[in-house]
Amino acid sequence: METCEHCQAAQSAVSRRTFFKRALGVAGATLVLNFFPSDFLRRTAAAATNAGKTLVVVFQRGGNDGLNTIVPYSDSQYYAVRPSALSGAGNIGIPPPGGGDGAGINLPGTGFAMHPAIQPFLDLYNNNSLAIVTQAGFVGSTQSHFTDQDIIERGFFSATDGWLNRYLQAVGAVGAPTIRAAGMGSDLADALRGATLVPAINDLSALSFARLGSSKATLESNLRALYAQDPQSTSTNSYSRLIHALGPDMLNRVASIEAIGPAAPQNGAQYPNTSYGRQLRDVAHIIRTGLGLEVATVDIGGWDTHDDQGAGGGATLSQGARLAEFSGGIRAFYNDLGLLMNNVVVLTCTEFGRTVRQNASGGTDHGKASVWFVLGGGVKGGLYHGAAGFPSSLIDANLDSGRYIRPTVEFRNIFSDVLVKHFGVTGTELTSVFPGQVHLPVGLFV
Amino acid sequence: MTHVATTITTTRDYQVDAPFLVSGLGTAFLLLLAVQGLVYWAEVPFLSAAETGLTSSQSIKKSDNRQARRTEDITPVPAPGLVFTADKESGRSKVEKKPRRLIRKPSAGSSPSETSQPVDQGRPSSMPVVTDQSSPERKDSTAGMASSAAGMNQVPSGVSPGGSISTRSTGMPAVSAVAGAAVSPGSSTAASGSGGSSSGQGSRSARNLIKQLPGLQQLLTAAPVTQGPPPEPVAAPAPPLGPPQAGLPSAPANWFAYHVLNRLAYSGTPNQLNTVSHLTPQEANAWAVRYMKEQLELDPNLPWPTNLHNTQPLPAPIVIDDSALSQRLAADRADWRTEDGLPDVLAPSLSELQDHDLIRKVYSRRQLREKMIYFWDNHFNTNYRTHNKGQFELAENEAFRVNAFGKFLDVLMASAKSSAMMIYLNTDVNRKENPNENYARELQELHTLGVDVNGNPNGYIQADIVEAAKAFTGWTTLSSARPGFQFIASRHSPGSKQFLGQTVSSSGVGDGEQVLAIASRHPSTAAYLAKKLCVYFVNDHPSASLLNEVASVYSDSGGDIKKVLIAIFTSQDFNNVANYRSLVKTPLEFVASIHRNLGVWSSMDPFRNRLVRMGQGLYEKAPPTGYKEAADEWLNTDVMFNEVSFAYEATIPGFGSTIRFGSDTSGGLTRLWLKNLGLKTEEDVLGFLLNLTFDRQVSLTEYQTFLTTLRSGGGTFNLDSSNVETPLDRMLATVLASPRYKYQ
Repeated sequence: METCEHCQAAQSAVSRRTFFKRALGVAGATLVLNFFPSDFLRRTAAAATNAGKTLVVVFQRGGNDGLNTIVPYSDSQYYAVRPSALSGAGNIGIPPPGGGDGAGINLPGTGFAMHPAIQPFLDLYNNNSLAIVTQAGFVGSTQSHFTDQDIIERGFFSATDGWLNRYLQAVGAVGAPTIRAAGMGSDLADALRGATLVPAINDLSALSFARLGSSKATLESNLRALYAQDPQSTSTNSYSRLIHALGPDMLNRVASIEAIGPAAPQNGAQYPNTSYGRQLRDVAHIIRTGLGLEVATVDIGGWDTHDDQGAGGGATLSQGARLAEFSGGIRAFYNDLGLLMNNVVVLTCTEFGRTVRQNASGGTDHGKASVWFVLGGGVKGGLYHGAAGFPSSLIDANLDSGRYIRPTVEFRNIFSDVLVKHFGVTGTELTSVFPGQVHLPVGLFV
Repeated sequence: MTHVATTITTTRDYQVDAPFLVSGLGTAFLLLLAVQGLVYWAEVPFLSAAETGLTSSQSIKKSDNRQARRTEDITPVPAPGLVFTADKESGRSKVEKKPRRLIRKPSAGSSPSETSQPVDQGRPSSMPVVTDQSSPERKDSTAGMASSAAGMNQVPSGVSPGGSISTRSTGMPAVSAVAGAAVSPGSSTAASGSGGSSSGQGSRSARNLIKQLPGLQQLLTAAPVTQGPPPEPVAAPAPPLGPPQAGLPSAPANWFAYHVLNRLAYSGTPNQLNTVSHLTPQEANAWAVRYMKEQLELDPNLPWPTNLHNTQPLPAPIVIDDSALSQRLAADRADWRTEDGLPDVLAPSLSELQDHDLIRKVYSRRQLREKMIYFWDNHFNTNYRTHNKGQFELAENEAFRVNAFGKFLDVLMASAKSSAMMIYLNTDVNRKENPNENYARELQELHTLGVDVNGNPNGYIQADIVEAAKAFTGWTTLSSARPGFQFIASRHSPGSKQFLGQTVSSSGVGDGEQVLAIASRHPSTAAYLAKKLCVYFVNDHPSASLLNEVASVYSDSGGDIKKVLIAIFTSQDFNNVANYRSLVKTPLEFVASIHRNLGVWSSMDPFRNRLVRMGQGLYEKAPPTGYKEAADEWLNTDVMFNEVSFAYEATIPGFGSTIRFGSDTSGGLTRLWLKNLGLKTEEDVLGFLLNLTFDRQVSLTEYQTFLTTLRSGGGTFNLDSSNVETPLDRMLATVLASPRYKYQ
């Protein structure tokens, strides 16, 4: 267990922002952290409170193939159902560590290897700040992207609000945050939808009305007057209440974001130049500027690899490219925030994994369990296979329906671990987020 | 008010008759400014020839004059042949698109009313693909003329598809004014001195200019005048509007006419809305019913069909003349590149595709058909970025255009065999060795049976997915980049398949077709489509009785889409004032409504850009769900920011605005637009503008806010005074950014 005594001392003595400035003062303002900021990360449980904490939930939409993300290369059956990419075009097996072009990156002593495209995660794994849940999911997966995403994001299909929105309802904010929660992108993630109004924020640099010039004040005042009308007295449209709430909310958000200006990544962080990369960059900026961001969602699509999934190295096709963007973005976010990562947890989700056996078009179809990642302050790194363990061999008899990886770690328990250990949610509060659910801790945190 | 719409019979033949419309109102005058690539075009006053509908008291006068045969929009060609004809040399066509400068579109003088005209039947039964053919030779020739007139040196050359050649050397290219020349794919020849690579900004602007200007082309080329639909009668501006009572404003007495425009169209145009504003409730109802029938391509003088619950055919469609749109589209295509190695296949970029579709949505007189094409294209979502072939999306969209009011199975079949869909959901690589389940699953989950209220499959199980996947093995695209379908028997999984409890006897390509037919007949499919269409047209939570009726019409009629639509539009729910303005505009509907309500003329760039920013870019939705229709999907901070920003772009000078609206003689100035209409008082102005935007339904607070803003220039309100310029802009910005403008 790595710990950082002086970090903890510093943390206890000063606010995290003050501490951050001091730390930078020592190391230089444009410090490029070749050694990892996580070397400083707490390795003991932080005070379980949501004060100054942030959770970023990244959703890999489309169903990432977990088996080719964290690869059970020591199981010969893996290569029987997924012949090595080196053995012929269209094959998707990741060659074992040391096995040539596109070989997996060994996770020593585990029998597993990382897809070479998630190399940016390796250091995080090595310093124990990356938890990898290999068979996350839930019993009763419909294998529909949309139903399963809804189940995960709402916690239960029948729930109307997202699980993160229910968290915001159940647990009060500490202080008066300017932007307590944000869904990055033009679409608000279902996890954040619900009774508490959460803004969708897309591209901080564009959110401004400054170009209105001399008309700005008049128009803002006019809009506020119109949106302040009692919605029931202006229209019978059943969305009038929400629309009337959105108007001033939007004006307030824009004003807050005009005030912090565009993102300026630190520590040499290099984000992918994609909407996913920009969203992570903007989240880091909102955290660093102290607007009180507690929960944010970021989406990355492109995981529905029914064909041309590819492997690593010269055989990289769709999945490898997405994994590189996915892991590169999170690594840049991690570098960018530096010591602020002590108070930030990143959790990645995907609705399902994919068929164990590859199909005839070099891809995989919808499956069940897949790989989820958790990293950041307080996370206890390592592989988590769940109580049932990982199948010793991927023979049909060991699979769900003879085709899929069986879920061994229930996603609600992952969410509950985060809420309890990162945010200090009480048992009562947890029950209001996941009613009727018994929390079986996964143990993802120190 | 007297409204007489005289129409010209349109003949559906397969020749290009090179239609030309001449604005029949006012004298066309030209104002060409070519200053650093900025080109303005001014034509006749906007409102003098705007679209209108018919009042109840008039019947359509159908001309029997068939001499003026004009191009129909829809030209059947057997699939999988393509479709769009390249009409220019490939070199020039590959010039990368640059952001367009401000182009003033022609007035609605060339956009007649959305009225209908009889048309010959006789479309071949094979899946038709559509072309919008016009007369590119004239357009390009005229480009030379106009550029010359504007004192520009670089002039694009044009090539007539009929084989005529134009050159750019003189700036006065040979005019090929042969109306009726058949488009001959592949016969294009070019003589271009430009090296084929770089048209300068000036010539691009000129081309853009010319693209918009049939009237100008006419003038400059002295091309023979082909009679288009005559100009529509022009309705007087809506009456003045005084302050309303306090409290909840009630629906206007003539609400139903506004309602129909809000739902069957991408909202009303100024002339339609002016017309409606003067109607009594009875007149408005009759007007609305006539509009609905015309849009459904039914005879407006006959009662509603009553044979909805059987498979008897409906009367032959009376197709609405849309030749002005065809010209606009042909001009828009002039810049498109052709596919490498396939000189007869136009291959638009994503943004070109999006612009082309937006032009249809805002200018087409077949508004309901466009709304249905969006519905189908979205229901059968595909993503341009999975293949990067504009021709694939185009061919698919055209198939939806042809089948929009047809049988659901035909729409489904067109989708299943479209290159865009086959690549998007992997049908193209589906082989017998280990079938790919992607299409088979989404076919059932998203295209036909759907999921139930608990998110569970509505009548299918995993085995149905596996079996259907086998049935589609061997289906694939053509080996070239030409859109089309082929079946490769050696890839096909032999043997019979069990699908939804029925046996599909193996017949090769027929296996997949049987699967589609079985799925289309399933009661879950009827219920799923009924729900989706009712949410689209009626409200977000349609009543059980409406859903039952619509689903049973679907089943009883064998999936007849037009009968389903008739059932919806004649339902109690649709005709209930409780559903007036009960929907919330999607971003697409929001930007299109600003365009149509205000008579916008500008390039499509700002519209496309905002739509993409709001997350509703056409042809680029990544997940196969397509875009959601329900309001809460679009009610968030970011969409609202972009909608408000778009409202400001349309009204506030300096807010990155490239949008102009109003009349062509006002230079985009709101004040001059209103002044030219003869409006004088504050109540005149509010009556007119709030009719275009709010159906004249306004709360006291809103009214007072607008009035206060109008008066902020100081002094007495006077449209002669430039002091009211800024107050007017701000007032209109507030209207468009208000909560009420989001309702439809």
